[in-house]
Amino acid sequence: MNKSLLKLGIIILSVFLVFSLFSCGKNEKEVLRVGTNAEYPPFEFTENNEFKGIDMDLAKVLGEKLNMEVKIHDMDFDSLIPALNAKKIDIAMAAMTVTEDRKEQVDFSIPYYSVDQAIIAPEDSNIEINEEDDLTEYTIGAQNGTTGQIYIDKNFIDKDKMNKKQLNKYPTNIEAITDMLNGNLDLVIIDSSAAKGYKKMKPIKTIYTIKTGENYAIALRQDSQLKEKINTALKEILKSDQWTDILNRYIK
Amino acid sequence: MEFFGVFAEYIPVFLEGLWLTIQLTLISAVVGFFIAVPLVLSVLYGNKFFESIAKGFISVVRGTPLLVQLFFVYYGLPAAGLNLTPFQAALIGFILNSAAYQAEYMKGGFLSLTTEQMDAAYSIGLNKWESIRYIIFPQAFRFSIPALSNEMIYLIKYTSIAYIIQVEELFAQAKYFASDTFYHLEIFLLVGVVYLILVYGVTFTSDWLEEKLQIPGFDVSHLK
Amino acid sequence: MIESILFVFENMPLLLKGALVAVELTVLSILLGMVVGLLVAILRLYGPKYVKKLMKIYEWVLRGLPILVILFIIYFGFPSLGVNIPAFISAVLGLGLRSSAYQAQIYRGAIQSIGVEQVEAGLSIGMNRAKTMLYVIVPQAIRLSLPGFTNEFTIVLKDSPLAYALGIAELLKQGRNIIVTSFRPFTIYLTCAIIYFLLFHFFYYLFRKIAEVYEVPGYIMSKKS
Repeated sequence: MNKSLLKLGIIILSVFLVFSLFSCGKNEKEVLRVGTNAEYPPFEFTENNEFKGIDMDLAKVLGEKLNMEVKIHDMDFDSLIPALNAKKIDIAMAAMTVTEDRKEQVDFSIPYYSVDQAIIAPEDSNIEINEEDDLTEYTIGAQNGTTGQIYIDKNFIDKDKMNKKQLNKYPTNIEAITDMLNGNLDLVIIDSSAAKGYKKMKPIKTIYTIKTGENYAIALRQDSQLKEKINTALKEILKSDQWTDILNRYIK
Repeated sequence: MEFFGVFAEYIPVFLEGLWLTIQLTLISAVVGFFIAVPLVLSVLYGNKFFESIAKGFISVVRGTPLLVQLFFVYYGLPAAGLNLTPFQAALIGFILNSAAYQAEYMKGGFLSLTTEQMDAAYSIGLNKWESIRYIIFPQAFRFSIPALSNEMIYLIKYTSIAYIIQVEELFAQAKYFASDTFYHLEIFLLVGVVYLILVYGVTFTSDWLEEKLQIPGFDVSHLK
Repeated sequence: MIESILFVFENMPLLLKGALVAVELTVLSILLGMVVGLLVAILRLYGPKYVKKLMKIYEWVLRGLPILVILFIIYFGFPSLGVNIPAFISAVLGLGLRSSAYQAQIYRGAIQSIGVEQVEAGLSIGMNRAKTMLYVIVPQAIRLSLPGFTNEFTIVLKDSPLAYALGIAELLKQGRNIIVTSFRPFTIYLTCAIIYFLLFHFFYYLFRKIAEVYEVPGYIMSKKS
């Protein structure tokens, strides 16, 4: 192999790499860093590297209202609150339910969507759940850190109604549902809205709903200056046709 | 410090996590060793068929990232009908990984012995397998002490990856703790120290063992 | 089967985009590791006593820690000290500094194998110590280190998917994004593994070729690693 050719190759490669690092720049508008976990259709997912879903479209509209440039930071759901507090992101929009525990760690905007917890099973399953306690006989999957997982932990495992091994925690609902469809799990607990989204893709059915009346809201740091502005903008958006359009796009 | 007060409550779960880390490491290193022996024998002395299978296996395992292997075993294999718990999936991933790396490592040990000693063994009338069994293997076994300890050090560090597939080992506990309490820096520094103790504990033990079992005239320090 | 292959091809552009991020991450980390590693190696060999000791501890700690612990300290731990580093740079720092500890060892070994005679030779023709290092020792040391360096490069490449834990859109993350809407983990993870395997062998052979071209005449380098 030719030495000088090799040298040239190495130089070109390194210059290219250095430039690719610095090529992102030019900010005129203030940037709004939105954290999400884009593995949660219909609220957030990607299609051809573009962020899609109810939350993502809402973030776009929110950015327009606030006159800020929206930048999406995709991460593990578990990492969102730590990232918020470590100032990695300004707000988190990830179908996040307002809970007392989370309120100790972060602040929330006004709610923009309300859901219950759905218990889903494979379409051909004949499991019947008539009351909540029937759940204790089954192995349940949940995305780690979600309301569903915390609900099972608090109401069943902490009260010794269920063995710790009956609750499998997954990084996302995908693995939980896949694992269920593969026969490793009986049921999965997820937000009712997500159940609707997944039903379009996989042979699943909702067999029971736990009325939790939870609210999705935007999470902010407790010292955030954005809260007032976001709440005002959110109120306007929720009344507008834009919001109805977004919902119709992803859930019917 | 406030941190230690909070941490004290979590000590039992951290001990459980630590125990899982140790289990994963020991089982993978030992089982991996027993798979590595036939692998390395196949590579060096096997017929074409076994040689290519062993070589192929080693090359695939060493040529792909551990995390990808774990994802494939845990999330991918169910589609092929193999359902595994996170712990089982991690164990399979680590054992196969450990077997391939130990085999590659032992190969060096075997090679440094082979030619002359095999000739000597043939000349006193031993056949191929007798020579391997009585001459090469007992010596090569000594070489595998650093191999085994190197592998254990590798495993102690890399078992932390298993948290990504929900194995609640030491690192997973640290992550849960950090999410709950926000003591990110403190907890990761603390588990860092625990990992250092484990890693260097193995290093010192193996150095000591190696010195005790040294074969006179054979210096294996270059293999480290 | 054919359907699976079509599905993979359809999604190949996304996966290749992720693969490019993996390569960028690896190359930048290796470069950082090279600069810091050379410095550490030289300081450990020629520095004052306490600096030598400090460098030894640096190597010792970074080589003993799991890479995830290093990444999490930098990404999630440092902000509580007021240092907030974006995910990609955190990953480069973590992978790069860890690699610097290993590269330092490789370079130190190489420098030591060159020997005092050459330093003396350098000094005797009127160069000062720094010049001798820069013009005589380092160029040879780098060439002698190539086999070890090749090995280190592949290790960093194989650890790059751990940046996934910081939410970086490398190959594995792109794979997961595709799985979210397609629910085809087996096919996608298998494809990811194949792409990594090809990357691994591409760089492995590339560096071996480079090592052959830059072999220092008279110094035997081991051909296998």
